[in-house]
Amino acid sequence: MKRSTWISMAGDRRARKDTNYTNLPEFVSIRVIRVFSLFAVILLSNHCPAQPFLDNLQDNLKLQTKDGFIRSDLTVLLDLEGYYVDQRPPGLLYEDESFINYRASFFIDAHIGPHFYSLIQARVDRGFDPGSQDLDARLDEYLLRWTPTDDSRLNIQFGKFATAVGGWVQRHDSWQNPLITAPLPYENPTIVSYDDVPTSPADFLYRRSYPDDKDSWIPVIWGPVYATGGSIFGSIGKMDYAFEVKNAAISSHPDAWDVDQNYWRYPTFSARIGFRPSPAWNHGLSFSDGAYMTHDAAAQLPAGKNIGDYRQLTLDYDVSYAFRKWELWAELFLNRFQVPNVGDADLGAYYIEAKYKITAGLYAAARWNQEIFGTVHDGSGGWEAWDHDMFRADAALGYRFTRHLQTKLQYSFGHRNGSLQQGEQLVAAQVTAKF
Amino acid sequence: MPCHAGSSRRLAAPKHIQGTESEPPRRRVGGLWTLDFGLWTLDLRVRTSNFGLRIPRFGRWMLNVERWMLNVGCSLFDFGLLVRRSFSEGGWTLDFGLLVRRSFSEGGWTLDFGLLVCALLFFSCPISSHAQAAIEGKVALPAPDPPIASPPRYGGPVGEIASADPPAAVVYLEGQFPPGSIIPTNATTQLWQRGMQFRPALLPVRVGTTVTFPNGDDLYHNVFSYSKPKRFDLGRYRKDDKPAAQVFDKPGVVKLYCEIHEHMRGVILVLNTPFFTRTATNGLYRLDHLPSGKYTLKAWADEKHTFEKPVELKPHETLHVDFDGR
Repeated sequence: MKRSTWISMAGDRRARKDTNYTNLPEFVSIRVIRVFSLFAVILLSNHCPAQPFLDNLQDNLKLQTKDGFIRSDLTVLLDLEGYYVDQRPPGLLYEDESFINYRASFFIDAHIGPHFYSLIQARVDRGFDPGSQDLDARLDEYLLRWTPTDDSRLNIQFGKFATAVGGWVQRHDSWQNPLITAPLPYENPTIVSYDDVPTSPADFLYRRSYPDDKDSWIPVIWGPVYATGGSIFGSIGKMDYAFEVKNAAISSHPDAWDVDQNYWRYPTFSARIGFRPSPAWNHGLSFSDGAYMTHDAAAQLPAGKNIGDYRQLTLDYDVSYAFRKWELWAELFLNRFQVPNVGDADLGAYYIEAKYKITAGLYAAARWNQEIFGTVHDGSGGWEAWDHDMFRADAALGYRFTRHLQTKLQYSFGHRNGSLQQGEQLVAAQVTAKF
Repeated sequence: MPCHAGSSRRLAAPKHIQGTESEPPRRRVGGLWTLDFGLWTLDLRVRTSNFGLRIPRFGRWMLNVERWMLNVGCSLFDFGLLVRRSFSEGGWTLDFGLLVRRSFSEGGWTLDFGLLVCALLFFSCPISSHAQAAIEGKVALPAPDPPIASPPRYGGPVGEIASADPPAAVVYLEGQFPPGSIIPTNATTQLWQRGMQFRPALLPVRVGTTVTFPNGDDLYHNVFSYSKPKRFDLGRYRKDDKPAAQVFDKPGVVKLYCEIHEHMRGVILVLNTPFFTRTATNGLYRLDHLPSGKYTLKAWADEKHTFEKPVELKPHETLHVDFDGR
């Protein structure tokens, strides 16, 4: 698999499947924790000159020419996370036991004149999703946007960037996400694989008895889906619209998002229509249609079929409401995977999330998530649910010490039908520095 | 215009009216309106956006609508009715007043009218012990450097972002002021969000001032501050909503931000002195009606541009003090 923008410093995730990668030497983690702790203490001290220093630093990271024609703004996010799981970790957590994860994200927002904008997001971490793997440095996002008019009615954008589908993308970074983990539809792997074609319905359904194969199975939508392509979007009055063509489906693995992946033979089409009747409300209806398998699966397909014949079709309704100290979000996904040798595997998923600011810095957040799976033909005359229905309740407390430092503590309880559970209980903590 | 015969009975301390956005600092103009009728007074303030009732030492009944003011004061010895119309807003106010007074001790009614200056002289008689000085000058202001407003990374509506306020500074006097020259304030003022900017971007207030944050835009704002003197978060609110007013009861610099619009910057400078003013955008300032004595004059433009100089004020003198930024 080509990896032009993935500058892997120690091999890729798939290679690690068969290796004992219990990760970076322990002293590295300890050193990182110490450095981060020191950093946090400095930031926390109101008497320390770090506060105005970071204020000034943040402003000084904004550069512009004298006439303001070219401007750039560098924003840095530093995350330190700890995860404790009582069983196999749920969602897209890539470790078999409790672990520490750290991440540095660099955002460069640049303007060239009033009509051109570009964004670069570079990250150094232990994998796109949390884990205790080796250090990675990547360009997660890069885009160029042309806004021909003086307002936002039309924007044309190319590059590798987050999807327009859904309502979580706008708040997916660690500073804005009230919780630590993503909503269930964005991170819970189903038994559908992007590179492993089931030979029969029974073969497909047998996967239900295995723990998640997170290097092969895919969720409804994989986080913010930084796939490559182009989009047209804008706002006209109270309406928003977006249409995008990308090289990978919204459920695709991060390895498939790069520009040289999938060869553009089977593009994914997605669209969203938004309606804002008032500043408090925001409604959105999204649709996506794309081939979710990669070329690794092509050779396993039935004769005469190609990966473009098996699509992921998704309909998503998102809504948000905000007033005073309250913010509420909800999303409902109706999703279909067309699975070779099986048929249509349908599922419904939703979440409802709330955040309430208790004081100037302290807030509480909670999210209820559920996934309900449809049935498929089992190959012997019957119909069976193709994966285990699941619910998960997330609760978190967060505190912003300053404009540059916040911390969160999350507890999650998830349960799926059947005897196989994966991380019923999760406790996670996160410290984020932003400047 | 005759001097008031019963003026010696007044509790003559001048009143310093707190500067507000809708009523910029008039400082000792308040001295004019000290219808300080001695033993008891009531102070009633009615404006288009707020209503207040207080019983201060030097108060009076006052109806203040836009630039009109109806002022009624009473004591055991006097009764006064004053109608005033202000023709300007700013550090120096040109007012026209009509005053009807009756002195019970001497009998008879008196009708006074005239411009502010005349009235000022009239009422200055009893407060000669606090003979007033002034300071004027210029502050070298930092170059404007408004933060960059980036469009939303992931789409969404973009409103029209107006220009930020040009740089200004706050000049204020600190020191030990004569007893009775400082009156606790419970003033209320406003700091708006308009065009996705704070207006004004720099607001000086006295300790104890209540500030409201009306939203003048057709979208949400979320004003917050994590500054030590005042930590608050108003949550999301729109035009016509009334977020909780904040009382600024500790002196210091309160930096304001909007959680939704990261480019927005504002500062409330909470001061422990009634003698302050905000400079014009060219840096010029004037502080009037200051008590004589030795004090420290300070200028605050931002955390990098703060200056101070010792000053000695003498009665009826105007001192010229420039802060050239060095």
